Amino acid sequence: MLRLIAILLLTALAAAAPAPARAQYPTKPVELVVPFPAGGRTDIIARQWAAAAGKHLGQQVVVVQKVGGGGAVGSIHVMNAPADGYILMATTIGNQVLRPISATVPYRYDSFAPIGQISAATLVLAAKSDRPWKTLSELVADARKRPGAITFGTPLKLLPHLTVARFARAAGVDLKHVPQTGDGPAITATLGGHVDMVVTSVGTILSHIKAGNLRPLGVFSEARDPALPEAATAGEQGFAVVGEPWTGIAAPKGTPAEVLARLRSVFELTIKDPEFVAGMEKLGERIVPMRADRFGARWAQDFEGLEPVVKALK
Amino acid sequence: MLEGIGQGFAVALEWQNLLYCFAGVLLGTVLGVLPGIGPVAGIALLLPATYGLHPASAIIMMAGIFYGTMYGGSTTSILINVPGEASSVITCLEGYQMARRGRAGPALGIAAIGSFIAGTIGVVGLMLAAPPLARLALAFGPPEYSALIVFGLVVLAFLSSGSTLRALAMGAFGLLLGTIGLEPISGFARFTFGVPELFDGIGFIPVAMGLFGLGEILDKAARAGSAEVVRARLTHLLPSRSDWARSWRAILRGTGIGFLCGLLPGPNAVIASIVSYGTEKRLARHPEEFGRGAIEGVAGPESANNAAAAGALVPLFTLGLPSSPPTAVLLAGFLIHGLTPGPLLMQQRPDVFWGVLASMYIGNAMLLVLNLPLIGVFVRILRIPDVYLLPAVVLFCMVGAYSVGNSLADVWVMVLFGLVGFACRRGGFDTAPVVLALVLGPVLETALRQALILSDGSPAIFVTRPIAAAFLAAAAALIVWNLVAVRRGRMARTLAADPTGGARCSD
Repeated sequence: MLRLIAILLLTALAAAAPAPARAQYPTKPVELVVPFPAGGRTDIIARQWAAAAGKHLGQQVVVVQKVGGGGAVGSIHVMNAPADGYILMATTIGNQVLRPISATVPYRYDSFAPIGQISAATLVLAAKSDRPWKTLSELVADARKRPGAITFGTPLKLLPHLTVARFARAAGVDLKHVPQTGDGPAITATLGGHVDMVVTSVGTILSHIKAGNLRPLGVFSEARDPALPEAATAGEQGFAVVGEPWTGIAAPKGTPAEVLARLRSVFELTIKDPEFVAGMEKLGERIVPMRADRFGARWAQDFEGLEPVVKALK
Repeated sequence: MLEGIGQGFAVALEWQNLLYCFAGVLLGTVLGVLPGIGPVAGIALLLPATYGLHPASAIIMMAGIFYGTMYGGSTTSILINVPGEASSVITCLEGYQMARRGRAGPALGIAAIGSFIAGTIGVVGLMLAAPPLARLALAFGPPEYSALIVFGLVVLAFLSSGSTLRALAMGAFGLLLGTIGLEPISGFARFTFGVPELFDGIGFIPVAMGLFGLGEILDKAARAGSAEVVRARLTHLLPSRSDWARSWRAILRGTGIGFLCGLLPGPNAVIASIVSYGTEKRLARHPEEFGRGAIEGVAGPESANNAAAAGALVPLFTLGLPSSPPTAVLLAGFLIHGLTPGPLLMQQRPDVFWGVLASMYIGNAMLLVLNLPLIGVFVRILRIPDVYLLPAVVLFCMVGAYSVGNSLADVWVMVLFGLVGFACRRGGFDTAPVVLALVLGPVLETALRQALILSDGSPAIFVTRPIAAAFLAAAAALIVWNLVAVRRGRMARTLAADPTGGARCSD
């Protein structure tokens, strides 16, 4: 009896001994905040990534929608969340870099810690196929003759709009922007001939180009897009304008270094995970992985490059 | 085409696809009944679960959720005056009045039958005429769209059975609420006070739940104990022969209106239900019954919003363009299965294209079979004593408002508008125009300003484009017609000495 009590007490004592100072992260499910509506591209990419990350982290990664204010509501939620690695954010150039430039919000692009970039899209400038231009140079030549008469539709002050603004400035022409409430409405307006051109990611309008309803004039990336090899880059056509909307993962600033290190090594595994790669392929989304340091540097670079463009719009 | 339809039924009738179709419509009905939780959340949550399925099965199930919610959305509107979706706001007007008179059964029955007829005819339209209809939808640019919404707002002003002046005041209030947020053309912040939750404006779901649901509950609670509370006896569960005779034309008209409105981008199901209600009120043999439970006012709009769901699939299937949030999530469903809806879908994946369309016939029939027996169950909800029912509804509203965007701010908006709704009921103001104007206002502003950018500021663009000019002319005609009718009505009213002007929701 005494022995039993002694054993029990000793066991209790052992259990009471301080567990390894900090249990191995993660010990509970991780939340991945998506600052955009369910079913959008960011959301679908985030859900695919969450499934892969869950596998490699050994804890479930749960997608949580925090929608509103062009991504500001979700970004603020993550910025204010405890920096312990249990709340992450699926982030894009829109909510993280551009929103703080065009609206008053309590965060900046550098209020977060980078984990890694998942993908980057190729922006293509496409005209309704009955319009006369076949290349950017033909467009520019026509626009010189008719300043302000050629129209393009994109959502307001997001990367497609800013990229056209940069292009127009580089080419010294005046193109008329007709603001749209989303990529879908912008494509509809172009197909209906209500605006002349649309700028969006290749994946979004590939089927309309293939069906012959829209004609690509050029892409705003360093290299041609494998899905649309016939479209020359703006650089090839003599206009050095690049704009690539990216999607990646970020954590609140101040997340402990060892947690960030774990997340970053898991990130490396996820983007090579065959299931994740296959899922992204089905989506028509190009995986363009970027490690945390370069991803963070890109935020700063995009901010420096785009802030003057947004300010010049006013 | 016939070959395609045959192939479609072959796909849709495979036993596992029948099962997925049933699972989809069942889930859709449940989500539709729960206020606030609509097709968007339902489909998005289900997306990851469909990874392993055959693409046709997955899309069949997700489409089932989409049109299934259109059936369920009317239930709470009729029973407890809480619209499940924006397109069911109109159903509250007559549906809830019918329920208060003990006719919840026929109201639910006609909503289900009308939805079935409209859904089925809508799918036929989708199969036969999708490509040409898609071209029609593309002809709608900013000027046409502005004119259509002006027409919708004019119809809205005359919807209320009470005073037009009060309806206009409430509509203007709704339009003002719609100006909150980042303005669509230059991104200037209006009335946001730096609160990011307000950048996108005030969501109509919390506002509608507050004005209708919570407002009604507060009103009921305030009357509790007074002799006014009459527990209506439930007479029939299904529409009678005379109900049917009054409704079938409304159902067919609602189907036509709904399908055409559904083709257009934006809150098409909302516009469809407004225009259908306005039409029925105009054409009714007994217009005085409107506002007191006219069955045509349930049959028409409920058919219209279901036909709009079918119409909304036209631009999605033929152009790959989602026209509303639920079709956007459906587009995501296509994408994660490596399918791109659009001009090439019919050739590349005829099994999916025709299979999904064929499954919609079957799904609509399933929904009818599923919903008619449920009427008996739903109607029993009304027998629950108010002391239990009212708090439960408040809870549902809160959960619903929160679930829209996982945001506590939406719950506060709902509570605030509950108080506003209560005050409006006491003051005899109809709250439907507030919600509908809140939905339509921002769309009108965007379209109007886009049109003026295109025309370099010249308003001539609204009369030189034929479709736009036609809608504006129709709106003008409606105003003139009503002025004449009001003058005549005033004489009639003096004779009849009818004192009920404007008191629809406080009677």
